[in-house]
Amino acid sequence: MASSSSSSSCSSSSEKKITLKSSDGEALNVEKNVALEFEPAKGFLEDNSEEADDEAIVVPLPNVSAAVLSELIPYVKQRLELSAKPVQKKLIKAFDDQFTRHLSDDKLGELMLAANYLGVNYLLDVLCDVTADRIKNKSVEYVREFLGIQNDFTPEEEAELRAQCPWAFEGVDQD
Amino acid sequence: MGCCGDQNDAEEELQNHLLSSSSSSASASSFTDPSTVISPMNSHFSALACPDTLRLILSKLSVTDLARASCVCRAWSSVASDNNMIVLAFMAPWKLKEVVGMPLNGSFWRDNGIGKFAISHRLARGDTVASLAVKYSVQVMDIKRLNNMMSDHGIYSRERLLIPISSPELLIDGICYIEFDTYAKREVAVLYLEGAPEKKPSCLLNRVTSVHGRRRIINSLRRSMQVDDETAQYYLSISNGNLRAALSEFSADLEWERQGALA
Repeated sequence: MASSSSSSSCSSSSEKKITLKSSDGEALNVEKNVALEFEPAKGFLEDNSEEADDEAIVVPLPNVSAAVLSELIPYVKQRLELSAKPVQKKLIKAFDDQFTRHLSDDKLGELMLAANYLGVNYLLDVLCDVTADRIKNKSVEYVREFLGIQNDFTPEEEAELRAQCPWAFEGVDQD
Repeated sequence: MGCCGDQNDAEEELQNHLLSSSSSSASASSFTDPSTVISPMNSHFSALACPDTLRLILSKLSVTDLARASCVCRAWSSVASDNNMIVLAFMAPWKLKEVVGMPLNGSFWRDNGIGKFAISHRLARGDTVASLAVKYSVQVMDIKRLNNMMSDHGIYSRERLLIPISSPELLIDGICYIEFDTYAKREVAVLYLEGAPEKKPSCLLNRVTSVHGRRRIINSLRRSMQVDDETAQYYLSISNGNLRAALSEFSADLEWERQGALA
């Protein structure tokens, strides 16, 4: 964490803008230090480092939509600014909480997918926390529906699994 | 002083940040909800197909939530039934450092209430149940109940007593050994306050107190490794009676052998 924040603060002084191209073809301008937080963009920029003018570089991100990127970018930007300062961990946590609290279940999934693809691990960790929190004490059926998971057990297999832990089904929340 | 001021500044700063972030994300989400229907086909949770992400999520669940997660689908089952995950979930609320050993019965993990844990007290001359109750700040009745004692006289025939955990703080960063206690007649996660039991050579037998219990461990090890008694015993002894460690030692050796054969 410390090393990434220090390297980003150096590059932020250059104030260079990079263009990211989303899966739906939209071009988004971001600061270079923000773009460097995204693994695929970082790799792309390193490969094309001989290009004199960063403005001319367009980084394709074929797995992320513009809608998701436009949520991610302000988050990453502010998170970078926060972690560049000598602030306490609980402030960063408060910031993360604020960011995740309003997320719909659907958005949560999209962001998780994007954070995974873009290699933004601190965000992925926070999102996993939120997901775990939302399936806590919920029934198996609820979890499947919530996450859109197909039940690929045969009825016999599922019955056997459930029989192994009958205690886990006591006091589960109503769906 | 200066530090306090900095912190206030930072909090103010965060508030400013948060204000701008909530307004920007609100505007972003207002034009981005054409895809709100979740179905198995277009689920955005395909991120969960990646075992690493799934592991990350499930590692934040409690023991019971984890057990239910193993009934969701095959992919979840394979991650949630992983022994490591179960042990981590078992330890998490108590901030334990390590749990050593494998229970004979899988349902051991289901309940990680404080009653599952106990301190091992090696009896010395002059110990009485009352003096131990004072020493560990617990009730006499609780010690008796935990050790199945009918009277106070029973303690001289024993090598040790199990002491209930009086405060969760005792468990923080602790190492617990899963043992079948013949007096308590059940498996307990035992904490040794005076260092690990390994230091005494006799405690390998102590680990699995009954001969019968040890026999069962050897048998299950022999079955899962598909080797003879001596081999199973050897791996168990080099890993200090820890079944999981014995298995990983064994598979490491197998791997080594396989690579030797290829070379």
